[in-house]
Amino acid sequence: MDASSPPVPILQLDALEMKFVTELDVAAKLLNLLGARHRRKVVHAVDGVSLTVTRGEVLALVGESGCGKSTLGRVVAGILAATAGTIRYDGMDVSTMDGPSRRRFVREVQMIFQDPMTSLNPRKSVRDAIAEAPIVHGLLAPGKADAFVQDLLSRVGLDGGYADRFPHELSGGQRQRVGIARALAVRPSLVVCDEATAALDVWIQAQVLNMFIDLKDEFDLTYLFISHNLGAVRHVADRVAVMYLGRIVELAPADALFATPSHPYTQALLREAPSLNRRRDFEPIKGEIPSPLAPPPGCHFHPRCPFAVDRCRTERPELSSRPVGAAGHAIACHRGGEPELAAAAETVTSASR
Amino acid sequence: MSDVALAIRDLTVEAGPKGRSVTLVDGVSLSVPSGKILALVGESGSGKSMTALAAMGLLEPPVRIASGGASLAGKAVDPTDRRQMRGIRGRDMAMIFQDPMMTLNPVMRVDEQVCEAVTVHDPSVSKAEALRRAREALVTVGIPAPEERLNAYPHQLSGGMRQRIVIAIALINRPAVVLAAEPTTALDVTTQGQILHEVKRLCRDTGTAMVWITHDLAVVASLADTIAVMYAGRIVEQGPADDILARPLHPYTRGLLDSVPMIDTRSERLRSIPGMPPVAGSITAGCRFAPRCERAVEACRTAEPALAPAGNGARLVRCIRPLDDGGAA
Ligand SMILES: Nc1ncnc2c1ncn2[C@@H]1O[C@H](COP(=O)(O)OP(=O)(O)OP(=O)(O)O)[C@@H](O)[C@H]1O
Ligand SMILES: Nc1ncnc2c1ncn2[C@@H]1O[C@H](COP(=O)(O)OP(=O)(O)OP(=O)(O)O)[C@@H](O)[C@H]1O
Ligand code: SF4
Ligand SMILES: [Mg+2]
Ligand SMILES: [Mg+2]
Repeated sequence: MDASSPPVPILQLDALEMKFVTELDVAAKLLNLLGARHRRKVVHAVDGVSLTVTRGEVLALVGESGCGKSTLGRVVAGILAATAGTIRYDGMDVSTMDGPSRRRFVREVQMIFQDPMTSLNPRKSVRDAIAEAPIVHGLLAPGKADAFVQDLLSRVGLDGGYADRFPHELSGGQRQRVGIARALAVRPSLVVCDEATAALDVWIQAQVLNMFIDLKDEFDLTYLFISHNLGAVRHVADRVAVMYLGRIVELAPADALFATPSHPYTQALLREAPSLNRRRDFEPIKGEIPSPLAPPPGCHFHPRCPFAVDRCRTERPELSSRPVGAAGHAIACHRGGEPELAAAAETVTSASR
Repeated sequence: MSDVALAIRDLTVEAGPKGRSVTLVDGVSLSVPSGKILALVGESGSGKSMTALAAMGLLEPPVRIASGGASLAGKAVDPTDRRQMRGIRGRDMAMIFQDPMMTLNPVMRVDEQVCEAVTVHDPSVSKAEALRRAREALVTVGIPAPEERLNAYPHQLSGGMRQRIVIAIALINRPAVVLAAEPTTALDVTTQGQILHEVKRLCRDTGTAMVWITHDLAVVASLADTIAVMYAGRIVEQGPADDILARPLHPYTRGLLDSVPMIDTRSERLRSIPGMPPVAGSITAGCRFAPRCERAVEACRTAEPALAPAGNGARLVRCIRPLDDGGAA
């Protein structure tokens, strides 16, 4: 690597936003004509996310259901168009790509979906699902498809005999592995894994996670790894971004995040993680999960936060590494760096030991 | 309470044309008392979903029940009797699927779907009452702003929200038995915690018996009363959850426990055992786990061990060389 200039990051997100507007149904429109005031609803699924991902790293994205992880993943993979902000892939603005650079982007950025049933074509055999795209992209000679499919299947822990099956003839975990094999078949550079191992049992999961790590070294792969499974995240991630209602609230190297979780939300999240060593009843984070349709003002987390003060209720905290005082470890919290918060981090990490 | 809510007896499930059929589930027997939770764990493809689908009478040809049956609260039911099963499903027995889009209709609004689950079994319930119950059910599974969600279509919801709607639908009629196929694996830990908490409370309070299919042993640890471990269509170990987690007897169970990634420690590589489970239809003589088992001896390869009582008698294990100390290193 050239030592004089830093390498171009594979992915740069700048103030990325994704808003979904739900249209009014006919009844509401009619009532509006009669003077009612039904408004269109806006969900701010991704709310000003800025991130840089370096080539070869695994960046994990964690957070509660509905906080916008899949949406962010789909925007990065080019499946949804952002409503504001920019995405640079390998230094190039994705929205202005054309012809060859667009085709390269489409091949190099692959997504593994949360519900494999919705992403696999029910009428295509496993063999076709895996071999078709690499043949189209000229990466695979049709005559070599069989050996290629067998090799990929064995890497995801499936017997070659499954090549002739159709999606409905597979179990949930087998389907998910076909989805993984299909994404890896085109030799991507950036893989967005949306809960890619959620339907896999622990053995296969271990095997697939190990495979992700091996492939990463072999092909210089970069992963955006969306997962609820903090154990899996701990195992594969180099860095972790914690999301809450569309915003990143903590960003840190994985070891630092698990050693000193510094945002009150991250602390609550880690306290919740189920573990074999801790057989006990769950105590959910206090307070209701707020509606993304009407997120609380100021810090989105304030209604549930034990540390909230007046300022939290009105002013949005920015993501900054100043409060934690460690390079690359940033949080978005007005009370960051205060002794109370640091003490709370201690209790989380000592409880899990 | 020890009255058995659901019993599955000697269930065998096959697929494929007669004569060339393969066995997917092989002589499985399970029973769950009211108010208790049984966790059915095992590797992908081991036959967990097929066992549940068979009990619900939901197998699609060419997959079918070859032998065995089930009983609900002591009364025999015939899962192949379509009419009988239609009356039972949703009211006495409900299923939560792995993929929420197997349950949800993509072109129907959520409120219609949840209300339908109520009115289909009790047409006397008014529209307003059904809506009230729907709203309550969504709150139970931790959905914020339930009114807004009720007005949405499934594609407008996040994966976890879809999953929770499906759970709400399954629980809304307070069925006697719920079969759940990994409903929480795609949920974050807080939501998962909340749902498990609710599910456990519901089982205790209403006497609902639950079969919870999962591969997530951390979830099992906080939820289940008993555990049944499946491998290649067979039950290989069964017993009280605490005992199995603390001291597994079958080498396969030990392996499952060893490969759980933990947040407490980060190892260079996760332990996973070499090899793959056999493909259905290519099962050879002897213990099905023998080709991957570190403890296998010659006798393991000649005859398949029976599921035999072990320990204090509350446990069952299918292994001729069970781990006597739980395999602790
Ligand atoms: N139509 C079919 N024809 C032949 N085999 C089938 C068919 N449908 C499913 N199978 C096989 O039956 C076996 C058991 O499937 P099942 O869905 O019960 O697995 P599972 O234990 O639920 O796994 P997972 O954890 O991956 O969901 C699998 O190996 C699967 O490939
Ligand atoms: N097509 C859409 N129309 C309207 N709202 C949407 C749409 N897609 C997603 N949303 C909303 O955007 C928010 C974020 O959803 P997203 O699927 O990104 O969540 P997530 O973090 O992946 O959650 P999960 O962990 O449950 O999968 C949710 O409130 C969801 O309802
Ligand atoms: S900004 Fe305030 S409310 Fe938000 S996490 Fe920090 S202390 Fe809590
Ligand atoms: Mg998602
Ligand atoms: Mg299954």
